[in-house]
Amino acid sequence: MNRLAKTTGRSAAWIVAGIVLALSVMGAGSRTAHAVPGTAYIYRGIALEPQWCWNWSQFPGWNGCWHDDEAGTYTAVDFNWGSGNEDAWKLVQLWFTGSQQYVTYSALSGGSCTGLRAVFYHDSGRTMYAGELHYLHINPYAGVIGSTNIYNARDHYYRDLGEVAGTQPSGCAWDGAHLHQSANTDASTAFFTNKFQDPTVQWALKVCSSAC
Amino acid sequence: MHVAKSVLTGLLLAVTAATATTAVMASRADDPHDPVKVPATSALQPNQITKVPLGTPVPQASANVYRHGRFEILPAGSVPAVCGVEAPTGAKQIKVEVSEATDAQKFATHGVYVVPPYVPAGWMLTEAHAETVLWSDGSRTDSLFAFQYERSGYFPITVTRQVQRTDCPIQLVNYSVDANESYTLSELKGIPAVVQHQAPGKPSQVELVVRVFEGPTLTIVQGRAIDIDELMQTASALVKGARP
Repeated sequence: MNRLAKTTGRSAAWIVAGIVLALSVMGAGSRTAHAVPGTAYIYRGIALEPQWCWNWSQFPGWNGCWHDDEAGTYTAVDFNWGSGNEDAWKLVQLWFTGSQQYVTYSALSGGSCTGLRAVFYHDSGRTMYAGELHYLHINPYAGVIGSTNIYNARDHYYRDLGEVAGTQPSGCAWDGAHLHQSANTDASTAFFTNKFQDPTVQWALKVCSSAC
Repeated sequence: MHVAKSVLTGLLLAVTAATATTAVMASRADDPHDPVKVPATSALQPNQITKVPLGTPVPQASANVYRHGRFEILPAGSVPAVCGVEAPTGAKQIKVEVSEATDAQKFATHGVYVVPPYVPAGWMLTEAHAETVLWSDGSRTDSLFAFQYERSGYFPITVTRQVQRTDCPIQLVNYSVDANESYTLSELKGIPAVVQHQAPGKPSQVELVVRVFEGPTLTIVQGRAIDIDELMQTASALVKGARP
């Protein structure tokens, strides 16, 4: 009995070791992924600490912050800087690390909420669509919508997009100041969700400059 | 030997556990929000995207405001005002209910629900999205309905119908001179429409958007790297038109 228990215990230890090994390999992949050429990693849009995000628990097994309440295939996080309405007027940035990206900014097409879209392309001529980010419930800064960027390769890149809105038009699904940041993760895009990680501290999305 | 056997057994167990763990994680990739990527290689490639809609082109980077029916196109860099939904007198918005389903029929009683009479061949409905505003006086306004259609190897098509206040313009923002997008002021069945497309001479897989306003309902048809006429036909089929 004792021997069986000892053997079982040893086996269990190996199984645990295996699980830890598998998870650590996957985790290491995400930590070292920044070195993958042609890939950029996108972070939360509210620039300041501290951070938290609303726990939707919509997708089983995913980090609870991820959800989809937009039309189309958009994975989203509702970011807050504080726990109340103090998020209003907090700076919102497009923030990424990694390979250079080619972006056009435009106004949102549907819905009654304020915000903007950052549309990514694979090439410097911005001809091959890669996917897009939405920054909702913000007041965009003048000069952003209608503009374009070619982000040169560097460690980090930021563009100030606007500030978290303190009010929203009627018809907008909104319950207080926060940033709703999402990405089109449809099969035709190059955007991938970092679904198991906390998006307030880890990169939230990655986008591949070429097929990946 | 005993130790070696034990280690070997342990390693086998570890590998099995690792494989099982990885398989569980991988199975989560079946989620529609984490799809296997299928590049849109069957969609039009940039050099094939040259058609522009009939109408009056809006020059990029113009300092002018272009008015067309209830649409206003503001200079690049402007911040557009967003029309909301008409509120009942004295009432405030309590919340917006958002519902999604793959079976659009579930929303057949929604006030903005109209199945698009025409959709380009080959695209299949993958998502129906409904929004309803709840007001403080207990009334409800069905405010938005959207259909998403997908076809493997192509980009999705989204059809959105949205109720808007009738006392404010629909503001769009023009693009800068280096952008690949531009607007054309057009008509669908005699009703003013604004079409966003690739700028002339700049073939690109930009978002193609047809907007038309009829009554209190703004219809928006969006797609990418597809014949613009297909999207205009989709939008046109959803409006009654000004002509008898």
